[in-house]
Amino acid sequence: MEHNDIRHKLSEYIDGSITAQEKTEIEEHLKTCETCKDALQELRKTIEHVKAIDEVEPPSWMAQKIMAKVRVEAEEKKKGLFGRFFLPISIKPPIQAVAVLFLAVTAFYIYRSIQPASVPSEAPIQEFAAKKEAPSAGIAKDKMAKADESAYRSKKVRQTPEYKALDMKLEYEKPAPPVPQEQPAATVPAPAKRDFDMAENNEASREKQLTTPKTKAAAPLQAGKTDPLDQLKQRSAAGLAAPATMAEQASGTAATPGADFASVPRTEDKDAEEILSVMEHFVRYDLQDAMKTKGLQYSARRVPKDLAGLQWLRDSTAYRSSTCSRKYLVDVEFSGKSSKYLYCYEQNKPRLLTVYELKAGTWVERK
Amino acid sequence: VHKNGTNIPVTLSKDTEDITTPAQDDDAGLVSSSQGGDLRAYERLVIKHQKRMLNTAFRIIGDYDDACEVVQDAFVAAYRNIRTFRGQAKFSTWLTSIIVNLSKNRLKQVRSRQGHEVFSLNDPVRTDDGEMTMDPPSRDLSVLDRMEKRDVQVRVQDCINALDQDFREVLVLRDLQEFSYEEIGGMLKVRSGTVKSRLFRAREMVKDCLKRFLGEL
Repeated sequence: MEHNDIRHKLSEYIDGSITAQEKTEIEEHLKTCETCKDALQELRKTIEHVKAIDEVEPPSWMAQKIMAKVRVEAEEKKKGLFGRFFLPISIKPPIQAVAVLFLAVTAFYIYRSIQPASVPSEAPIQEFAAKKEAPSAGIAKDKMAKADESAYRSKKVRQTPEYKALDMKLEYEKPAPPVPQEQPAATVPAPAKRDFDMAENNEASREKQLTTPKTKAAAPLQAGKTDPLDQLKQRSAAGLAAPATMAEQASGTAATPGADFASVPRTEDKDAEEILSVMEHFVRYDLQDAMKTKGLQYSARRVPKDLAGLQWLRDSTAYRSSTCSRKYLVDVEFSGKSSKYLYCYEQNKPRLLTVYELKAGTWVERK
Repeated sequence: VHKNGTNIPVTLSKDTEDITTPAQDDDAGLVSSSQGGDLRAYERLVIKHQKRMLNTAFRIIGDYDDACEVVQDAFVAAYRNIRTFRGQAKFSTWLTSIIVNLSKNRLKQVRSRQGHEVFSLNDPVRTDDGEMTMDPPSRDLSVLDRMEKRDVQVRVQDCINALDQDFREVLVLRDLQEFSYEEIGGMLKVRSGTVKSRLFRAREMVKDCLKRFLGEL
């Protein structure tokens, strides 16, 4: 080994971590090399100085403090994953409170964000639904129509009276609102809403219903080969007298939109039964066979005492000469011609008084 | 330990155990009990080793309070990972490796803190009479007739502190704590050849440093 190598090995030599051969070589070299001898001496003294440094004492609280921390650590270890779900009681309630508050605020904002979108769309949907449901038939449908009707009342939706062709399935029309009496241009298609089902099931509400002076049932005839009488029977069986709207042709003007439906009083059971009876009589005995085809439209109604929209009846001999208190009118439309059949209801059956036809804008009795 | 972002040397313990030859460990029984959750056994280990660990940390860090904190963190970390200790090295060796690692991290923090501080409490304070240097009482000795010895010891500590981190920890572990080259290599994850050369250079540097302060050795 060279001198420099031996210089570098002196540190290990002191520690005794060298091989026996290295040790011999170093000791041989030290006998001759004063520099290395001095360096070894200084190195030994340095190590002595380092080792002579007094040890510091740990503070008296150290072990206690360490063990306090270790105990906390041991507790957490014991709890493990499961324990972390169960927080200390000092932390848990505030966290729960914050969570509840967060949910409340979130719910509030969700509610607010939904609200403006739903409100404007509500009205159109209801209106559309009501219109859609109106021409339906049957008991179930009728019940739905009732609901719609109440919606109509509250919404004050106007409905145009119009003829409706009778579909192959039975058709039901919304009652048409009446027009004020003093309106000469537009005569009133008085609605008659007959609802046996409701009347039977809801006596209380029926009592509130007002008797309408004008009752009218319509049975527009479609399908040429279908017997109008059969349709009428079907209609009767369904507990439904369809209150059709029919434009009055007295003044030769088209029908005008009626007044608010909400103001229309409900008909009495008796009226409705008689209207059905009148219509049955009309179809069975008075309706010409030639007219029992597609394109025939007819509706029946009670003649109001004040003759609203029917002032021309006062001049009619047949009307005036009859002492009958319950008069019914069947409005008929067939191939562009209008006619009215006046009935008297006596002794539980209708009797035809006369037939009016529209000629040159005025109603005249058919000879 | 967690708040300082220190890695617990779990893998290091494995290396340490691999390098160290199986030795008779006086602590084996206490360690085994501690692994079973016996806190009293662990407390005895703490009481037994706290002084040596504190001295190791103190000589590496050079600050007593920082060393105390490091020792506390090291014992808590050791308990947390005690189940991973398989007894292939001495418990004290494993514990020291944790101390060395945490001391290194502490030194890094201190250095970055000092880098950001505008002034240090240890800096000289300017007064009307000139500069006044802080002179805190030494914790080591208080006996007057050992003033001279204390003076030498302060110089030695200063010289150790003047060493770079790599050299300082080797010197402390070898000359103060008397670990073998292999044990030191295992703790620091370096080969024993590196430990030897680092130790040689560390001793030479301290020797030169002391000669400057004390004249003759």
